[in-house]
Amino acid sequence: MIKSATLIHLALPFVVGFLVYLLPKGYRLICVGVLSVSLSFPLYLILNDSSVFLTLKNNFGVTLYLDATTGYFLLTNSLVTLATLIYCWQEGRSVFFYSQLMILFASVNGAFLSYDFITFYVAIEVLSIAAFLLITYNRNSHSIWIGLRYLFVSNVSMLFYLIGAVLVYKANHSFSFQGLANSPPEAIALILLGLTVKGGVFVSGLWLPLTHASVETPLSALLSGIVVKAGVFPLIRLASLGEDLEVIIRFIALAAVYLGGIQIIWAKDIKRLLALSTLSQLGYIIASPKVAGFYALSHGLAKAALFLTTGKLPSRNLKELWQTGINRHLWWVMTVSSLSLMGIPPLAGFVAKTLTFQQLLPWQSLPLTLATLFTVIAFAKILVIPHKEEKTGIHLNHWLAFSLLTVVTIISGFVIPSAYTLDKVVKSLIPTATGLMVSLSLRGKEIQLPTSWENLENLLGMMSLTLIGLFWMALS
Amino acid sequence: MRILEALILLTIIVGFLGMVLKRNLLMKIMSMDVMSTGVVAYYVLIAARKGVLTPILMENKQGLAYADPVPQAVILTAIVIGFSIQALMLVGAMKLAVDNPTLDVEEIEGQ
Repeated sequence: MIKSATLIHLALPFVVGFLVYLLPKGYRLICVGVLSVSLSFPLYLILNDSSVFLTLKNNFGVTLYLDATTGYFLLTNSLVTLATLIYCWQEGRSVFFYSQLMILFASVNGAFLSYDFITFYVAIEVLSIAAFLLITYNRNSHSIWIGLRYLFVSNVSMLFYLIGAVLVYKANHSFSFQGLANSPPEAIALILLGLTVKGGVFVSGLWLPLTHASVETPLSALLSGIVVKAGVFPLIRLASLGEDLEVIIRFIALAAVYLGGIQIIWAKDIKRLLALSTLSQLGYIIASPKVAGFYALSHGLAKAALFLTTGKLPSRNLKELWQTGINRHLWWVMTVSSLSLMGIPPLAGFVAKTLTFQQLLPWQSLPLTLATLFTVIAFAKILVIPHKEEKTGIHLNHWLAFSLLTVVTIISGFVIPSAYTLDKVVKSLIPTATGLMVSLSLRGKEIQLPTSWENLENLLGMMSLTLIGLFWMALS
Repeated sequence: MRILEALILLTIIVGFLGMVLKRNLLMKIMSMDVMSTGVVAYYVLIAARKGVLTPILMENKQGLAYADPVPQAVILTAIVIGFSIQALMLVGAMKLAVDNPTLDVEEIEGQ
């Protein structure tokens, strides 16, 4: 039963992705229908809360693993893709766009379900191609360059990953994730390099801010909300394999939180601020792997909603926004999502942060609590944007997309009532209050951070350095 | 076997260095191909670590040193994917060449 449900969930979007190309009439309705149906399977997984291991074909075939964490990631994917599709409803995009959107959705699902290195590799490469075609959808020079840069970085990282995968096979006679626990340190280093680059974690993820900030609005929401999580997801699986791997991954998480956090304070462009915040939030997702699912859901919803609203703002420059102000309803969407990311009760972000902080190791909790200040300082800049009555070109479908994301953000704040105890609420409000005070004192100060390390050659060079660093960590 | 492995790893490193050092986008894409050739060869080498006989079951050939079929099957998928990504990148480079005839990466990034 569960096997056929999984297969349908995995295959249906692929089939639809190709079929809508052949039957272009009513393609948007078909896509919305499939995405709505695909909400049910992840919900079943979350409510059922059991783990299932599936092997397709024979011993060397495709292996899949499903549990509640998979369910949360799949649910995030369905919700974010659905909202993005509704957002694009009347923009007159061609059937090609929707077809690629479905293939992207399907390949991200594949990455979340796979439990061996090769199935994951295939899913992630299909994802890269679909993402490239979507990034270059409007065919201008800049978007083609951004797409090529994305493909370059991800393909090189996946080549390193493939070497790691064959070393795992050599040691275990199987490509299963489990094999990494008794593989040589060079295999661990190569695999972790591939995954951190795809997932945009720490210095390997420095390709991410420019890509996410300069693509079209719906694409930013998809890439930041869900696509990078496909790269992060195996890290969560690998962390459960052994103490050594878990410590490495938790350490990378801490480094990622700070790398993103330090840059985010000085961001002047709203899309760049959101992209840099993804860089640091991904660190929180893998900081405590057991409860990563809920954090991914809360981050995906809030970040997608924020990125979608940026498409309807009069400007991307924060200073101009502070002067002009924005539409009152848009302001509400942005405020709810920002507060959720800051971890204010009673929103999804608060529950996610509480769950994550409960599972932290002693050496992690102080630096990660301090790092929440970065997020608060940065999102305070969005909260101070004034609102006003204004007629804008925002249609019904946009409101539907925004309300889908914000309503789920609010509802999922209530699903785990045990998170609401007095001391946890107080604990979440103290860093927020401190952060707001710091952000007031920082007002008017400006620092221009260098961006030259985001050049293609430096990104590639950084990969070799990261590889050495990871090898050293795996060895010790 | 050891020498072959060293040569294959050298191919991978040369490809990677080519990508970092060459300024022209087309040369970078070619270097990526060199690197992926190295990775494919490494899979083949690991498949052949216990024998080189084609892994087809025949009646009077049991117990012989067969090559491992799994890495070969896996790398076939990777070759197809690598090839399609290569093609996609070359089309992208062609489109970019209209505005940037030199295809110099620093010039493209500077815009």
